[in-house]
Amino acid sequence: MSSTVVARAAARAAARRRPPVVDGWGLLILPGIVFLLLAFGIPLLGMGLRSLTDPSPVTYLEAFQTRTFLISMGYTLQVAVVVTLACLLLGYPWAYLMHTTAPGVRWVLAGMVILPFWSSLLVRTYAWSVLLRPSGVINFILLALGIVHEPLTLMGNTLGVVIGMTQIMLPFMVLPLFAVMSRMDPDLVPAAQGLGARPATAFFRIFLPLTLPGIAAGVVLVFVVSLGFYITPTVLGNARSPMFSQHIVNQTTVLLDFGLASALAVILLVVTVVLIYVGSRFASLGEALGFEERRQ
Amino acid sequence: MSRSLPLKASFVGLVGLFLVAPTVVVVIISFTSATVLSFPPPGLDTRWYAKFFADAQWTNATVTSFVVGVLSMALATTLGTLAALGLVRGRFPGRAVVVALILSPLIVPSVVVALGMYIFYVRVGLAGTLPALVLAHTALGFPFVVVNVAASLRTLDETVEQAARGLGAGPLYTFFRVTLPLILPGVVAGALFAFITSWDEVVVALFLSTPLMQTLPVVIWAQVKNDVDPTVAAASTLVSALSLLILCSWLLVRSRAGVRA
Amino acid sequence: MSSMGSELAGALRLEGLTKLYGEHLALDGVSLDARAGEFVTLLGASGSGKTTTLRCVAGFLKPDSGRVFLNGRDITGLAIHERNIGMVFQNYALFPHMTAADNVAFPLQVRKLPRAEIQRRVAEALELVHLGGLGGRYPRQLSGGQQQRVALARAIVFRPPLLLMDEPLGALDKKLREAMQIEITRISRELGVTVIYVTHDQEEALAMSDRIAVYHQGRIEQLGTGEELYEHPATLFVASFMGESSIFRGRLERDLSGAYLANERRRIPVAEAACARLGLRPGQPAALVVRPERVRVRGAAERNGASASVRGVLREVVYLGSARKYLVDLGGEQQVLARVAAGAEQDWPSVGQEVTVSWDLEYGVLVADEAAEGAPPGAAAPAESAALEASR
Repeated sequence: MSSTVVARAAARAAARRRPPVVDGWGLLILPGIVFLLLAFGIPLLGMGLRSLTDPSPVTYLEAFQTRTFLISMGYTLQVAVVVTLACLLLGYPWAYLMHTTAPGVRWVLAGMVILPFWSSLLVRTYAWSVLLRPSGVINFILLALGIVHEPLTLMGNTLGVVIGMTQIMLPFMVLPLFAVMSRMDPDLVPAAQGLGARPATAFFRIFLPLTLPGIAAGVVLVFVVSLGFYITPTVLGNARSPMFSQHIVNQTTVLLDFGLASALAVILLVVTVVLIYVGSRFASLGEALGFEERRQ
Repeated sequence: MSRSLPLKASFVGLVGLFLVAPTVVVVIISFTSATVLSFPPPGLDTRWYAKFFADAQWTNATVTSFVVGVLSMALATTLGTLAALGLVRGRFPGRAVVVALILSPLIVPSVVVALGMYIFYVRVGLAGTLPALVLAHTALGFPFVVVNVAASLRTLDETVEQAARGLGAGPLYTFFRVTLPLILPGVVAGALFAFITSWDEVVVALFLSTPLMQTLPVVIWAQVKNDVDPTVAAASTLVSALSLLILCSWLLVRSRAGVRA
Repeated sequence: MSSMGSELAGALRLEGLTKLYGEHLALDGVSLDARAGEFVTLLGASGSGKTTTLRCVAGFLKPDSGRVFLNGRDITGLAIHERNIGMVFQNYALFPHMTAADNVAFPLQVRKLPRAEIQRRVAEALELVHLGGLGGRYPRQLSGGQQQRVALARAIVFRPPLLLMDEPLGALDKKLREAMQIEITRISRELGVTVIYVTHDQEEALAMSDRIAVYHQGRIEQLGTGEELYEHPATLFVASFMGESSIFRGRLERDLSGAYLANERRRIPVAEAACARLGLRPGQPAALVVRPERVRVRGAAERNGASASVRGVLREVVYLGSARKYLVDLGGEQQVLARVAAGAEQDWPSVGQEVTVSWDLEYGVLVADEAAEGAPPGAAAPAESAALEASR
């Protein structure tokens, strides 16, 4: 065979060979994926199945029609909204200060927001119970300073829950906000001022709009995670107005109605997933959490 | 800007107190000499720490927590590192679905996970066993490993591996002698995150534990609800101390890796 | 002048600006006077203080001492947004969440002009920079050159008396840069606005400016037109920074035959006028700067009373098409660079040949040799010395 014929045949063969659908590297995801499906996916599916078969899909009707559950869902959403707002009101200025101060101060501010994040949720909830109880630290200080004459009821109510949850969720608001602020072109605000905008105008017309993706990311994160809280409301809240996850636990451990508990759990899961999906349209969650790089 | 300094300082002071005070207060209470949780403590004493180490329930729980933590960390790190490699370097269909699946343990509320796990392990007859808890915690720690290792991988220049291959090294050899050392910071970070996740996890552990097999958070939880004595404050402080230690060592590893890079 | 012309083009005066960053003196007493409507370039290497100067004028930095006057008014203490100065940044600093037209409209909205007026002026400004019709695009939809022009339009739409430009063309490729240089010069002349332009590219500075301030280590070494800087550099730094040159170092000496620069290897005659201009006393160190265009290369020695000649060996010839560059080695690490236009030479000396380089005395510029001040006379570098000839 002549060399040109061989060359042409090789070229044709190469053109026919398309890259494989799954290559060697790709196979490496299998152990993890299989494990997750077996150890995580199947339990959840099983729970979903339980909700439909114990005794039947009628369980969902019961779930949606029971006033207690509806009230609880409404209350849970309310608490989540309040906590999200509180985190936004405290977290945005904190992130802004972190962004605008000298590096030394910035590390201190970051540390103060991250450190509590690493101590367990249970420990911090317990700590708040020590602080907020009638014989606790805060009441002690208020009484000692004469600001009040009777201890204030700071826990066993929504206030206690909100306080505890806000402190726990604050890092989830500050970190995405700070990430977005750091990525902003540092010349933009000085440029706006050079064009005649007062510092306040430059903030509201240039800085704030450009941090919107970060705000969206923080809001989605805090809101969605707040919906599923169990530990904090149980310790700091009022047993008579439980949050939704408390009902799930109650149905499971006290009333032993696994079917209903599963139904409630599925409802909570669906609400969570839907909110995350909707939220990720407005907020680049992946960026905010550091998963992806923004494509310039 | 210096005009608003008092305003800024008071904001930082108040919110900072809000962030930090709770943990500090618990540490202080853990040293109280009183038998009830009163503030301020009348005196300082380490009796509650002594009580902690003397009580079998506490010490058994600590051992259990360690064992579960180490095992789930090891498993999550292995699976997670492989998955990260596959995710960043590999070619496969349905990438979006795969990523969603990998991140799902982060999204699902812990009560939902706990219930699902409980029903599942009762069905397979493993409820209340250590392996069940290890598997559950592995699933929870898995996404953290993937995220950290993937981030490390993305900053890695593949030409280094190509150079190794060109010098005659096979794929496995290249992985262990070239790739792995370079992504080690990411792997270590992920492993530490996975351990902390297991160490602090309470809701799933609650559902999967029995009076015979309990983790530290489970015992703390029982004590918190019943409000017995300040031993729980000592336990909480110890739990936090370990987390803090791990966080600091992670920062150390990170800065050392930064210097090397 | 277009209707966009500044009502009052601004005269800028800088007095003794100083800025210290820890140990590093970024600005060391910078003073400058720019006339209304003038195009002044701040030229220097990175870190020489030119951008720091600009930022002090804009108000982004507070100088440790010194003052800034615009049209006679002391603006040193004014906040950024009160200064009414236009600024174009190197990376454009366009607001990404606004269209090009909104970007340009921003300074007018801040000044609360009526909407119709804003629309008119924005359209006018975009036309001026040849971007009419592209106002609805977002910055990410525009090319680098287009973004730069939007930035320019935004900086002039509110008719500031002064326009500051911080290396605006640095990110563009060569062809685009040259096109933009012409555009910027045209626009600034049309508007009659005073421009302070920062760059490290001397060709750019020479092409665009009325006057250039050469920066070195936080100080302005010389302020003058391109021709003044090139033909009559005031310091050794300016001489070496602008273009190429041959430099001789030594001590100024004088005898009955005239003045000359002497080091341990040779004596080079210098013009009396050059000595007088520098005001040095005999014995003081100085440097002689000769531009390559002024140097003649001959095979044989030249005898001429008004010129200096030295013999050396031709080491290298670089063919540039329109000219030839000759590198002549005089021995002892002294080299002379000559640039001869094509067509001027009759006989082309070849590499390795012994040649005589010469120049008219009036083209030899004397400058102070700061580096050598206090150095022991003639640090010897033993090597073969070429034959020296002092022409009479």
